[in-house]
Amino acid sequence: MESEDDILGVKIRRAPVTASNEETVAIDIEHRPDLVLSVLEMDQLVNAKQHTKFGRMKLTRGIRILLWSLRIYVIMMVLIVMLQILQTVNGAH
Amino acid sequence: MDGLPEDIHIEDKPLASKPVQPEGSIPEGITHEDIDRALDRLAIERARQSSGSGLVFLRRMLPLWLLIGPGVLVFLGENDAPSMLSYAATGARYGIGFFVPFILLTFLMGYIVQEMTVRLGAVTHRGHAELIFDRFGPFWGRFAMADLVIGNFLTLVTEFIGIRAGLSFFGIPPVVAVGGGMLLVFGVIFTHRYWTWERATMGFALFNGLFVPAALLAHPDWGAIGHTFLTWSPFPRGGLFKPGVMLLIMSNIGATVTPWMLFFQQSAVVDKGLQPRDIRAGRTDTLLGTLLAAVFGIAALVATAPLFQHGINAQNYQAAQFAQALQPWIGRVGATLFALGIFEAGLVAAMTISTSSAYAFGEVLRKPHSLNRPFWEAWPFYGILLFSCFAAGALVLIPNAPLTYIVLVVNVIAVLAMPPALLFLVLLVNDPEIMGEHTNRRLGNVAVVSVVVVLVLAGLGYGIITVFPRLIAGI
Repeated sequence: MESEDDILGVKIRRAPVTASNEETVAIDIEHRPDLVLSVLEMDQLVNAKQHTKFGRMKLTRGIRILLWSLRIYVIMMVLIVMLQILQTVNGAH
Repeated sequence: MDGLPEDIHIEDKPLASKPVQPEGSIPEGITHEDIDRALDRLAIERARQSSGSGLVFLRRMLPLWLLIGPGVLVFLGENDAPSMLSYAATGARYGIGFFVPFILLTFLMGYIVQEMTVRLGAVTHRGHAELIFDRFGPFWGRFAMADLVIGNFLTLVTEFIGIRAGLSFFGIPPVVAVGGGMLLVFGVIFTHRYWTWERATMGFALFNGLFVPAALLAHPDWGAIGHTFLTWSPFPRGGLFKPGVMLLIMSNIGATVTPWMLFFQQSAVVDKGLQPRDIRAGRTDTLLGTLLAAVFGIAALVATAPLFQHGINAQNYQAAQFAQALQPWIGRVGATLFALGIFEAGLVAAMTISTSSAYAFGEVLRKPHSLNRPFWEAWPFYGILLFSCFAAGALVLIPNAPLTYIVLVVNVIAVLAMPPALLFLVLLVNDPEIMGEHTNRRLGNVAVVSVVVVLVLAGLGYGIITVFPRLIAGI
């Protein structure tokens, strides 16, 4: 199915590679890189990705509490691991 | 549009700021990375549409063969030196019993989690670190990166410990072993293609299967293995709530479910160029990796079970010592396979984990971050990869490091860092703004929340037993 896209200001109509044209694409792709667009999705292009950013997710109060809780959990548990290492080192001596 | 296939048309309507490209040159906006990725996609399309002669089965398998890679690599990469040593230590201390089905359960948890990274990568075409920074902002992104960087570096150190220890069985000096391992990892800069790197690393990764013949040489009791899968018994002596057992439980979970795997697989899916219609193949890839890694991991446990049966204390064994201690029961060949397996485990993990760090840095710093780029185009990406390997390898050459304890603790730290990483994953994969119709279903959410609960409970259990050892002893 043909579609129309706007890649970095260039209007491009494109269609998926089919059995009838894929050999031509394979031969030409390195000489005519615009054919890249026939097999890659729009937001797979490196420069298209650099120009687009996903916006910030809205973090609800519940999500913030979860994020902080797990962060505190990690810090506490790392302290416990360090405690066990110290116990082991002291035990070895 | 001379030279274009009939159904591809480009309108000659460039914006003023975008100069018209001379014939034959690369148009602005298209990079070599895009071209390489497009060539890989083209091979997949050709395989899918192939109507030529040949066996039907092989024709059907060809697209899958082209699409597999990230899932197999992430799981065989995670069957790394500390993981295989954790399985070996488990087999030597507790034999065939509770831990055999437990390891399978941990791989099931691994599959549940990793499948989500396939969807995230194929739908958004963004790496995990990039998505976290975009959607949660730099404040939370930096926490995630700190967990990843610290965990990856410590794990990389243990990979070089594995390389060194595995080759020490053959009398190879540490400097030669570590230096040789570094050179093999550094080979990445000569590939220039994700595809080449992926296939070469997968070739190395298949040697993880060396643990299977080593296990067979141990003449395992198949009846006992079947029994333990059905009953999850015998339990470790004294029960599960002992510091040593809890440490092994945490190590075995950390041998399968770790933050670097999330970052690596999603970035590799993006670098490989997977698209939403490849998600099913991505799942098959992940399942294949899960099954291979589970079999190889359990094989490492089974291979060292003779040490438990003969009452040999392997508590402070390192890789080469495991191989030497096993020699009377699995022979020189078996011991050699075991030592080579540890070397391979360290090497493949060093390749994948250093790549995971490089991807994450490239994504966050918005620098080129693809194995499809040559070194001069993406030197910060390759620089991170090479520097992390070099620093980790150099640390391993410091004499008298407590190696076995370090490798066990690294896996424990990986488990502790996992719940926050999973929370980011769950929120992203349930985000309809970026995932559209590919958001998690209810069953997927129940499964991943169960994994988070198991990890948090295991961590808390470990913490309580460590801080209050007498509390549990008194029960």
